[in-house]
Amino acid sequence: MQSLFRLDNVSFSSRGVQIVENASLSVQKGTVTAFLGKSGSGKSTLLKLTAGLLQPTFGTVYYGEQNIHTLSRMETEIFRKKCAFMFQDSALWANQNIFQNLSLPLMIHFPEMNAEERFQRIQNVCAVVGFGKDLFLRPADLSTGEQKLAGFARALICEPEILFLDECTESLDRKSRETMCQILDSFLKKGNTIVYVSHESGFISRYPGTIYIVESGKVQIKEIKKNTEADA
Amino acid sequence: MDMVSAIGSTIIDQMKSIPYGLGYFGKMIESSAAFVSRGKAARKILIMQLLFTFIEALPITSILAVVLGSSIFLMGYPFLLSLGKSSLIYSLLVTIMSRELGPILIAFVVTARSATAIATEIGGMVTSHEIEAYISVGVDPIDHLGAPRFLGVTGSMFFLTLYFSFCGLLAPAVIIQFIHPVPFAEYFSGLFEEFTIRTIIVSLVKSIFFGMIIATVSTYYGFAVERASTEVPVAGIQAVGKSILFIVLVDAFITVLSYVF
Repeated sequence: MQSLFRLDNVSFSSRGVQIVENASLSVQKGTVTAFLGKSGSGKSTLLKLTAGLLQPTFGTVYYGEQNIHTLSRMETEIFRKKCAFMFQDSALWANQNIFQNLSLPLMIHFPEMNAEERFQRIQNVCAVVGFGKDLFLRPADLSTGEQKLAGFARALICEPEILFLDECTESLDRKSRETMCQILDSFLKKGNTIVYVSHESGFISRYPGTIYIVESGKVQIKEIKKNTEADA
Repeated sequence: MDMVSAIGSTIIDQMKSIPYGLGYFGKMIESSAAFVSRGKAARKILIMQLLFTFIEALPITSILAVVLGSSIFLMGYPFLLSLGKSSLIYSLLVTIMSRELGPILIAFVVTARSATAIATEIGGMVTSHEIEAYISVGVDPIDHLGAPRFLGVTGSMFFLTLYFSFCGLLAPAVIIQFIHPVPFAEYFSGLFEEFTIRTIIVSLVKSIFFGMIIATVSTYYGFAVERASTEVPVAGIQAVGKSILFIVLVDAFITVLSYVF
């Protein structure tokens, strides 16, 4: 089976601090992959390296057969349209309101879409994820949980095939968590791919898949677990 | 010996960063050239940059131009008159206001206001992962954040320099009437005799280069922030320091060229 993403001896350091060391792993299409480990072990950095958001200091990240960092402008656009990243701290653009935060990816990937269609799509996605606040508020006017939902809406807005989730359920109430899980269930049923980092045991047991344990920047163990709930 | 090796390694590091800096400048030019066709989503950033760097800088530019232009005339005219060379005041005024001091003074104003603002804003976006968020949705941060600032700051420098010359040369005509009255006709004919195409070209070339320097240096240091919020003010300081250094060097280079050719 061909890997969707492959990390080949990837290391990453910042200001002389080694964060990820010789990580080699692969992500298969249509599966769930989890990076688990203690706080500060380098999971989020590994997730960002896999998504091509960070450039490795050494080693190569492959998307299919291609080095993710040597894709042409056109190939990068297609790749970015297919994947979405949900950040641990939401990373909403602070100087733009929620509507603009959700509108920008649509303007980039669906330039043919007019303003009314964009507004409609944004309203629909916000309704699906359960974001009920005014779309014209800025991120600073929202609670952490609401920012998280807006971040999730931004990740889903272009209907991606691959989702990178960094502590996606953190700061969410039980109802919002359940809504998010239902969306992820239907996302997976379509044959899409999820790569995530989480500390929440409920979420991990619901989405086990391929698990990589990260310790001090090193990928230690690979386990493949089946979803018992799905089996049942 | 340790100090010598420390100085040496600093120089080597600086030398190594030159090709990277030039590459960044090239990328900025390329992104700015392509901005017209693919910069639809970032037009608001360009407008806001023009508003902040050009429109909001007009009051301070006006005050500087009026005060400086009038002071030069009021101090220089009696002195030159006593030497029987009063007509030289127009040459002095045009050279200082339009060709030499004007562009560099405006560049310092823009550096103080915009270089710090740009570097700290972009640096803050790096630490809050907003830049990574741009990359994740397929937006090149240099295209989206760098290019509109490059065009905005360069355009603002160009128009502010023109405005400074305009105010700095015209305002003394009115103000001197209260102290050393000179007929308007004499004042303007003296001014136009000294105001050559070469002066205009040198002034505007300087303003464009200074604008490009300020925008490139400030965005460069903003994007260079890595992780900690403590790096953000440092980026602002570096942006101002390096902008001033490059502005002075380029100013000297263009001035020498303009007098040689």
